[in-house]
Amino acid sequence: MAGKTLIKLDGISISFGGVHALQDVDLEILEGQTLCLAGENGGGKSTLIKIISGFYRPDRGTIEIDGKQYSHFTPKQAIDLGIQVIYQDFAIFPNLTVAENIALSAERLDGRKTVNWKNVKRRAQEALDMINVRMDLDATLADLPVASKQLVAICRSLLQNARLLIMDEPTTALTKNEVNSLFKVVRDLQKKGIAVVFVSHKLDEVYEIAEQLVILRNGKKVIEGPIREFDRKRFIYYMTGREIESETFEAKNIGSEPVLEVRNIGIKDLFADISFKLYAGEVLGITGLLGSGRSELARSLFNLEKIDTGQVFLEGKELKLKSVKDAINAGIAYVPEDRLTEGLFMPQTISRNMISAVIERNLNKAGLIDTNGVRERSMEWVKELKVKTPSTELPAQALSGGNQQKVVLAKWLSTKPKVLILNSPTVGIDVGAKADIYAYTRMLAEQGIGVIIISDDLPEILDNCNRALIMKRGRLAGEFQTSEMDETRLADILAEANDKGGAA
Amino acid sequence: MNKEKGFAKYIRDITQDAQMVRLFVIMVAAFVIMGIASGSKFLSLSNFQSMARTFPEVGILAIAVSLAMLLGGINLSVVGIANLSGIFCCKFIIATQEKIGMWPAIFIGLAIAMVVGALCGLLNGFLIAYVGIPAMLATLGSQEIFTGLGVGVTKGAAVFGTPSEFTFFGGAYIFGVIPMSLIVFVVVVVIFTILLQRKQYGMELYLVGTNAKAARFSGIKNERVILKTHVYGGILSAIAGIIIASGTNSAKASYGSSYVLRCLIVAILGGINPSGGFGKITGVVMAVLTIQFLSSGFGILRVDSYFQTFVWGAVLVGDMILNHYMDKLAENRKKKKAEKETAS
Repeated sequence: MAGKTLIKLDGISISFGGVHALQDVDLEILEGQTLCLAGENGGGKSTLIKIISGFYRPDRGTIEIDGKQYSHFTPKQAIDLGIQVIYQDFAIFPNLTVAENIALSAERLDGRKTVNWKNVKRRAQEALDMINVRMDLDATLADLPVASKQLVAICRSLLQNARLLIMDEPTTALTKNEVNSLFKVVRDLQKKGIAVVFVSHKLDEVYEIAEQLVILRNGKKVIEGPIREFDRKRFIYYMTGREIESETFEAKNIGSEPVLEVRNIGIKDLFADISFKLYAGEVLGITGLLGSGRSELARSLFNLEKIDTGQVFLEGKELKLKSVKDAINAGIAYVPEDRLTEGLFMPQTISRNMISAVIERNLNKAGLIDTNGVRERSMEWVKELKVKTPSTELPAQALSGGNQQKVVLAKWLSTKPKVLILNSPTVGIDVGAKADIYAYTRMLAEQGIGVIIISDDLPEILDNCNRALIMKRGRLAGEFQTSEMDETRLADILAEANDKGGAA
Repeated sequence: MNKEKGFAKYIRDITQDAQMVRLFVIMVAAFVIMGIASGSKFLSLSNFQSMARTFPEVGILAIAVSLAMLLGGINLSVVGIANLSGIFCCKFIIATQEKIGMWPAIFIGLAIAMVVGALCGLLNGFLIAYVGIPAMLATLGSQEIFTGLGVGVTKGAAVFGTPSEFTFFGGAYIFGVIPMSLIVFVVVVVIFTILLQRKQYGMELYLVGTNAKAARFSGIKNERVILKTHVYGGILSAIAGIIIASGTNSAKASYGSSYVLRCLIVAILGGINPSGGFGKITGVVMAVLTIQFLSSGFGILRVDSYFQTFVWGAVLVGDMILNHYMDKLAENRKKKKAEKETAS
């Protein structure tokens, strides 16, 4: 399917503030090719995209398009050459309509002073036809689901005569069905000779859509080749630079008394009648589709939401929590779903982040913050959790996603919890950091901490929990031992739960 | 590991903070330029004394504004609180000095001023934290309330008749040299530097200002931090109000109406990030000194006061431009260093 060379990068290098973001990277993209750019966070994927789109100017190296050599080009030139990037946030205008979003930038390129509104609608419709999608042209973007916003962004780039479409992690916020329809669109584009560069770290999707695979690690291209030459093990090996053993968790010393017991708790309109026990040494999974009440349940255990009915017992004693602080002091820790907005103070230092949940335990005799002690303890956590950073006094935002998540973990472990609740702990995290986090939770369970993992990532639940609960429309819909369950069956159960929910 | 203690460590941290170093350079430059331009008059003891008497008012109010800004908010009601506290203080002293004696009347008057300030701050904090009104609107509204109350109580006139001993707090010179208001300012700066840099409250203030949601998820009681911050702001405003009332030996609802903007300029020039979470009292101190040097210098040179306003603005904008280019320079230097390392 692939044709002749569309764009060729030669020896591209760039560094920021002393860090080599890319070193000597060569890349060739053919017309109509679907190429997957893979690599861990901080590997250089985003930087490479931004060089191709003219956003960054490389320190060294050349870019060749249509037989012409450039040392760099401006974003405007890149667009004129047919290079289009669809970023994770899509850069759409939420208050404008579908037609306006799709066609206005192309209208602008015509260079006329006024807008021809008839033209706008006609062009928008043409673009939608190109990818065989139907959509209401007059709908406001803010009212549409994420998947539609993405299609709008794709249409817009097609109108600007895209020859190369780069999609930065396009599937992060999509459901399985939406991913399928997106892939259909990508295949259609490919037939029209448009090359697609696909950035992802979801292995399944890469196998499904890509022809060619390029893996970046620490700013260098480590390997390249047709996707069929990579099995999962080889893929992960090149991505992380190490062999990662995935071994199913078996709870070895389960305590005789439950560390946490939940009896018939509920919150009006969110969930009802939830009861379960968590024993020390267990890793309990809670899974369910989005909107099943799994996150709300976790938040209520941490007193971020107040329960209306039911009781919660910690080590046999009933909990009467008035605040989040009470929950922390009782020994419950909650690693939230969204580390950027809920878990971290991004511009603040790593050490400040690490003590932020228990500042009062870091005071000296005079009641002042023990700065030297804080620094030392933070350094210990950095070593313990293998956080890749030269100093604890750097802002958290200087770290990659996986390392940020380790900081969040350290923050909660320094509260010395008896129950650790992890909500979607590995979303947007690369394979290497994932493995570190899983290994660590296992160790915590072995030390006698009760761990709860909430996730819709089924392999995550199956590999790392010994037991799991299924939630459906705010109620418990089942419980299973992970050793007696497989992924297909679990997916079926979840889908079935959803269908029934829809019919009711 | 380097284990310096207390003050020495604080000074070392400050000297490593590029922004603080920059502010120090600007402050010294303002001093030197004014010293050269207006000569011996600027460098005289009487000018130093007059400066040291003047800037603490704005300095203390600017610290109150800075606290609110560290939360990502603002406080536009500091002058209203200062005047209202001053009015209550003076009214009380005048009404009771003959019955309970002068000094008891003065000291209870001071306490009343602080309580009024704290209550005003409590109202601000309540509106922002519990009613959920944006700080700008809440304090804009409360500024009108406090000023209106002040006008109502005084019928718009100045309150005269406090004993001359009352001028001790804003007008006296300790050992005949150091103005009392400067001493009050130094005490305020020391207390709030410790509060912000080393106390749990300070850390919580910075964290809430950086990301209120993450703070809530960390078990920090955001509402309480906001309430506390505005109560402190109210008390600081009341202290400034006492200095103003004592300095003029009178109180009026319309004193210092130009101070609000000047406080904002000082806070921002001092490196307090208007979106919250970053900034130090030390910066505010250097900024208020810079502005004072310029004001006094221009006063001696008999420069039009409109032009002074222009210069304050120019200093503020100039500082931000300087910030921008210094950051760029630092980035380039790092880049070059990295390239050298690669080459070798």
